[in-house]
Amino acid sequence: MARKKSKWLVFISHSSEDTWVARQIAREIDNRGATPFLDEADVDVGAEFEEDIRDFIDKADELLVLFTPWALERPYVWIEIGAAWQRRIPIVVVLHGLSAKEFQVHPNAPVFLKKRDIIRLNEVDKYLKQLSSRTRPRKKNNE
Amino acid sequence: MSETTIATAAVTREPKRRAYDVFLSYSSASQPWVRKFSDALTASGITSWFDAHDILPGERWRDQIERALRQSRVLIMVLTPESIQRPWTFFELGAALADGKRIVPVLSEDVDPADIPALVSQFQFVRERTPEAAAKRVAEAILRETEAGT
Repeated sequence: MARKKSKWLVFISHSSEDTWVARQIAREIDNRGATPFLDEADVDVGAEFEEDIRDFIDKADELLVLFTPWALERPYVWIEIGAAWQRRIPIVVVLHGLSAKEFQVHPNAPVFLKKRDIIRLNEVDKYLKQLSSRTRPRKKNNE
Repeated sequence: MSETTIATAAVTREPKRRAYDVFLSYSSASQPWVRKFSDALTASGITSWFDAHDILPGERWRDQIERALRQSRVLIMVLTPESIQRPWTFFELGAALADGKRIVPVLSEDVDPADIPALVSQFQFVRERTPEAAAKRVAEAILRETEAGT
């Protein structure tokens, strides 16, 4: 079902240790015309988490996971990946502190992720460029 | 290294479109317990799909597990000291939440309820002395819900 005029919502899953980095990514996503949603910044962790997470994950158009060695151990990151997988929305993994190879051979790395959707933090500009093309309507089609 | 091991169970009187009624999430360390649990579910009228028996050599086991997860309507989380450390436990929980599945934690005797993550502890859990007793309680709840839904 097509979304109407609401902005493209990118859910950013990250460990609290990486909040500063996640905020920089969120700012860049915002600059590209999409709406970032930072889980720990925007949701009170606690009893209401389930309802909030379900609500936001229902609305998200894609999930960006900031994966670091410590984020791999964080239950909420995996809950969010599971929810996105169930909804079949795009999942993009941004690696920081571990290489793509290290990630892919990790026993817990999700096997359903496509290689092209696993990028290093230094390559995040590529992702943002692609995001711009997803979020900006083409003039030709709007006439 | 925690190996992912999952079993699902199918209800013979499935009234809706789901292929399986129950998806069973557990860590490999508790497989003997889960085997008894699964057998007891079968004895209670619920047909089990058990990965150790039903994934054939050469099949993509992760694909089979993911398909079963999508096609079930209840998530049973067998919570042991190992499984609560296992990322896939939480992946499966997230998938179940997004799908609106019923979530039933089953606690092993060696798990302290205080160690259960807050997000899981909000769901009413089952804790019995034997896998057979736990399966009986779970099966009763599933069958009651199935009948109510028909």
